Amino acid sequence: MSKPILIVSVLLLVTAYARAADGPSAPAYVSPDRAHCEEELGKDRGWHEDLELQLYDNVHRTESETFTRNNKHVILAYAAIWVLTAGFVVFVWMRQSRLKAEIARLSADVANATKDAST
Amino acid sequence: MKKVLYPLVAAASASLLVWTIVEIFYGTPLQYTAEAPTQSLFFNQKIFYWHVPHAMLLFALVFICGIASAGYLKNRKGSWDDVALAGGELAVVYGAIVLGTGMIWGRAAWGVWWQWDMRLTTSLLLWMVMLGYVLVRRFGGAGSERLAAGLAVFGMIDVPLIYFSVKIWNTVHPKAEVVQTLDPAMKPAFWLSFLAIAMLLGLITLLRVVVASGERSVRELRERAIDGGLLDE
Amino acid sequence: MSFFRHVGAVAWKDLRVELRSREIVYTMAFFAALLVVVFSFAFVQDPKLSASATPGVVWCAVAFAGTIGLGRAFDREREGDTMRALLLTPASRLAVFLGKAASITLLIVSVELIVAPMVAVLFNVPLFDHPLPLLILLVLGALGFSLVGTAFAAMLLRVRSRDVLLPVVLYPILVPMFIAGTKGTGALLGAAPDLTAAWYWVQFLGIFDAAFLVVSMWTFESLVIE
Repeated sequence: MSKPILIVSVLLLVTAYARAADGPSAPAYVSPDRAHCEEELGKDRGWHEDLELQLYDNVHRTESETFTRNNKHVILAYAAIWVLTAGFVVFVWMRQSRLKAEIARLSADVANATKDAST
Repeated sequence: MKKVLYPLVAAASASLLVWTIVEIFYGTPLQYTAEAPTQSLFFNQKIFYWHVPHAMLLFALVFICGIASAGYLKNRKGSWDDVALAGGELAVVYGAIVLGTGMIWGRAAWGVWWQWDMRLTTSLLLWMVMLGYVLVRRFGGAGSERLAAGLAVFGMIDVPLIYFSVKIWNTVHPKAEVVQTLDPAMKPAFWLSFLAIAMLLGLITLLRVVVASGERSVRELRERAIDGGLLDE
Repeated sequence: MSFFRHVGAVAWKDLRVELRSREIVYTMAFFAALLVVVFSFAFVQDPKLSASATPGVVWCAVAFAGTIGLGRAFDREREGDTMRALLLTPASRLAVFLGKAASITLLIVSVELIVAPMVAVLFNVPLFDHPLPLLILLVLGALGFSLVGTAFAAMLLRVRSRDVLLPVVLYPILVPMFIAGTKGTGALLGAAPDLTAAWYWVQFLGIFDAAFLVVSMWTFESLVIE
């Protein structure tokens, strides 16, 4: 019974991660030289691609670190909730079985006592 | 009718829980504040949908335990005591959940496991009162129900005092504030998860109350049998 | 008016017994003084730390000494089996409760009057610059501690493992009182003492005491059977 739940939860997490991968857009920094740089970047495709390549690893690494950390914590938190809830249900179950044993013992005692009394 | 009730409620809460999880991960936007992007929670805000309903239900459970204890002290009927016991034990479990998930979320959002945040501190104190209640029931021996009931009543009266004292104690401390205004797109998922968790709580409480009243009946039966001379102990 | 006479009679009985042997007040005071010395080893080296730790030290000493005093006072009742006798008197249960709470309040106040000067001297803090709010804080704190403590100790009279259970049930309920006490005392210290804050915490302690007085009055009849 747990395997399908595991698969479903993994699929849900992957989908959520994919949706979460679109990060926020940073606020624009107004620089006096910006217009000039953008003009140059537009003209020099080689420089444009070099810059992209240089930034790619950094951005990718920080984003993936953040989300890996977040993922771990979300999974940990939900797991904690389920473990504690399931633990309490198991506790109630055990008390229930102990109660049944106690009732059986009590009825056996009473049966013995009434048998002794009647004989 | 009762035989049908439990499986029905269990099935309803199970399907609600599944729907909640789908809603949380599919139906809600990621939490992001444009004014303070570094304080945005993104994915770990998803913990909020389960953490907060458990916290609200923890307060509800403390009040249930307190009111049932007051009722038990007033009219000495064992059924009030059963409800109080179930409420107390579940308050300990839900308190552990709230504190655990709060700590994990705090670690993700603030980078520290614990902060003397007002809500965490209040939950910790309430949890300790309920833990005391459960300890007294377990280790107090005979006649501890009354003492535990008194403790629960005192604890319930203490809740607003704890709340205000911790709130004012805490205003001086700087802390990383989690952005609290709830995006309206998140509200339906939140209330759905509250409903699902409340149903599950109701089911578990009912089960615990039934077991507790069964144990009490057996205890009383045994005592009556001993008193009547039927059994000897 | 006979109600107050009964309260006074119970309180005076406890104080007479205590004055003859002085056992509880000596042991409580010595224990509290020992605590202050132990805390001073931890805190007094760093002057910044010691100034901010002082309120905590005072109220910790009050808490721990109060617990053992409470335990001892009710042990005495149990050893002499006098609780049943007290409850058989024509005095109402409430009068017995308030009388015992009054005597324990006086014990704790006498311990506080030893602890506070000790802390002021050992930690070198101007604790007595504003004596009136400090005194009221200490008295109201002692009253709150003894009201809740007497209720629980009376309930625990015949319960197993009562020595461990008393602090376990008492301290979580008393946390708002300790917060108010430490914050109030702390507001009186420091370079610029904040008197409005101190009086606010005094009021808070007053509300705390009133609330638990009312609750104890409601529940005491049903809580103490024997």
